Amino acid sequence: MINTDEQIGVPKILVIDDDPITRLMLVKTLTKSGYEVEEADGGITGVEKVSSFLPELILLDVMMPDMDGFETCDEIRKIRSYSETPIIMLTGLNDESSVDRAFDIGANDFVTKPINWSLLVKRVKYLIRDSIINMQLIENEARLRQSQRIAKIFYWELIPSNLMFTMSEAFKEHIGFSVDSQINCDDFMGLIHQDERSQVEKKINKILQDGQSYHIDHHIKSVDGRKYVFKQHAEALKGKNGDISRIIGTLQDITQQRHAESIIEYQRYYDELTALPNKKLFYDKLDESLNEHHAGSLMAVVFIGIDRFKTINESLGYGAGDVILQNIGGRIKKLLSGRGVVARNGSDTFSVILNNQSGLSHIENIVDEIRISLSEEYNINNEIVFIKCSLGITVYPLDKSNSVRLTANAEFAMNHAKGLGGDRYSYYSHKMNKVALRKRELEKQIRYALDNNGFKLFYQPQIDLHSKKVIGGEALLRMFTAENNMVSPVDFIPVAEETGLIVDVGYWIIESACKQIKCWVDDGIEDIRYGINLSARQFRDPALVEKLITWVGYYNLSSEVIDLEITESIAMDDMEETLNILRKFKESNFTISMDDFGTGHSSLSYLQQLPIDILKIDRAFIKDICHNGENGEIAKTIIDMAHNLNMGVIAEGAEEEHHIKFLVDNNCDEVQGLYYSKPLPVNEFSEYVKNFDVSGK
Amino acid sequence: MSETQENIDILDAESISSLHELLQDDFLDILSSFINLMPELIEDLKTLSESKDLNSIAKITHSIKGASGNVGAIYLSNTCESLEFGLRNNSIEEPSPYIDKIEEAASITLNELRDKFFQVSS
Repeated sequence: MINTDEQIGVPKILVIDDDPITRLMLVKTLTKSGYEVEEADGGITGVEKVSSFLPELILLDVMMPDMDGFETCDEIRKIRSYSETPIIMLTGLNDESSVDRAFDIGANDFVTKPINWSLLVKRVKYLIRDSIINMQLIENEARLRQSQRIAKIFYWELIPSNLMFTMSEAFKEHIGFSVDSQINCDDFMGLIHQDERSQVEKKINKILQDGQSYHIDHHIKSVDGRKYVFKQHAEALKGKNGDISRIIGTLQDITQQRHAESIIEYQRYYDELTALPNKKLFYDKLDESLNEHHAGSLMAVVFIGIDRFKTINESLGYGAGDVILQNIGGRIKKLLSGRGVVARNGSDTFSVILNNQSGLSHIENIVDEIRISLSEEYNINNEIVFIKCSLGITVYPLDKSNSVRLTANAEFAMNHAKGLGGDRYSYYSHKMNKVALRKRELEKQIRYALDNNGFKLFYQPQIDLHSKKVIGGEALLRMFTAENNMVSPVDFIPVAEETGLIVDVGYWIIESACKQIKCWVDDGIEDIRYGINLSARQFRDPALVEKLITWVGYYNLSSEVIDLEITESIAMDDMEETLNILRKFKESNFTISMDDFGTGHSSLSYLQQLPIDILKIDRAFIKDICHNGENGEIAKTIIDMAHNLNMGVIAEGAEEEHHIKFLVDNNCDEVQGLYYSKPLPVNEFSEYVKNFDVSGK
Repeated sequence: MSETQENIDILDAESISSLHELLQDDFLDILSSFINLMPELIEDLKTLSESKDLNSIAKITHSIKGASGNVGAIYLSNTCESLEFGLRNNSIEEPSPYIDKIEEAASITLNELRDKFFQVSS
């Protein structure tokens, strides 16, 4: 029995012979040998049966009346998938020409008549075995070719003895050659990019000499000029005598992989919008600069932020913002023109490295060039736009930080420049850093105080110099930390203002003052006015008046006892609006004081229009008054002016007896200061009012 | 199986024994088909001999040659071959004597086969 392939089952054989006896004998013999056999009595029926029976082997008589064996063989070979199926021709013993013709026409073997039966059975067996192996080989090759095609892997072969070079057909096709075109080794080398050619040649020569396998990536230009990147790997195969018999090389097309890699690489290091290096590449470049830094030279890191960029995006749309950012990047790059590196650091920030600078003045010159260049007009969709920028500078080795720290320091300086109003540059210093740390700490403490009753109001008595009575008290805010340490308002108020926490703090002050006043009124302490300081933000809060009225009503207070203090500078910020707000205060009968008067630049004519009840002379003018009353000119003028405008006057910072004397002599109405009392906690203030004895002072 | 000179001349013993070995009982079926078919073919040949249809005579001779050759009946096969060959290269114009020879050879062969494999004498 034949060793049949499991996949194929019992091999099928078609016998085509016109002679019934021979046919019968063939059928019987082959059936006995374990095959499935079908017969045809002539060439025409034989060809028909091939397609329906699908034999794995065909026995074909040469001499047949209707269609002879040669013609039949030719017809069978034309049938799809029958180009390789083994065909055994049955020929006469002495018919050599028939044998030759049979092979020419595509027969695989021949058997002479009279048939040697045992030989026939053996031939059939081996032909079928070969055919199965051959078929599997063809399938495997097809599968391999297909997978290689998918993976874009090709091969070449070089025989060292005769330098015969073979290139896979798929490769030829892949780069645009016809499949049957001849590519010799020189042709192949000619396809390799000229800069890489000699390197590949060296590798091939080396493998020819010592058989050392190699890997190399190189470019190949196709027939139509397309460029490919190939990964080439070659290995030497040795013959029995140990000599290199052939060299097999594979070529893998990695063009797309490379392309994808380069995109990923680009996106890793470059900003898509401006095509400038991104933050990561900037740090790499900065590290490089630090490594290559020459002693004696300076390297500056400049951080550039666009002032109020948000408003550009809000007014012109994000598309416009993007165009401006592209313009900015382009301008900085053009301006530096090789003098430094520019990167886009964040949404509206850029960073620059200036290497090998000889002095700070040079750095400042470049920085100012950038500032001026960026402030020139931008034409965005026929709309002219102007921007300003703030720049922060830190200089190595004066600032001996690493790349990340240097950039952060430059950014810190930029924010400082922004805080100073923008459109300028600022250097980084450690002092600025400390301020920032302190601010962060204070912000935390303010939040803590708001949530944990950390704020307390102290009241500083105000004395009527005519009646010698306590006429008022200014509520002054004190903050206590978790450790119960008191923090000065001078420190925390600016932070509260910057962070916006001042609004919450301000309302806390108003509410807790109202509550306290109600207690005192209930306690019989009357005819006292309580000063409440308003921050700029709170002053311009449209909800303020309403809230004040609500609380005053809630605690059943007369609104006159609430003395709203605003500083001169707040009042002067937007005079029109100030007037409107103050009028609303007045409509609700609140008392209004102008704090720190004399330090600003309010014009008399303007002051006249404002519905102000009291002017508070800044402590600076009181402090300088001498024993003999000298240097009191300003204070005296303010007192007179206030009286002329029908306003009351209160002097702040009265600490010495001669201050009081001067103020009394010059007809000042009221006084507040250490001479009488420091700001007092709630219980001490009520005691102070109750026990106030002028003669005691 | 006795291997006489006569046997070798009429039948190819080697071929027959390998066929027998391969096919076993089937070989006897084939032989009986051959034995049954042969008189008919010889009759056809004799009929054609009178009509002088040389082409048809060559075809039938070829068929008898092939069939007999394949069962190891070499004497009959060789006899057919001389006629077929002569007809194909036009060297024979009068096939009757050859056909007589074929008839005789067929008769001997069939007897021999019956003797050897079916133990029935004619």
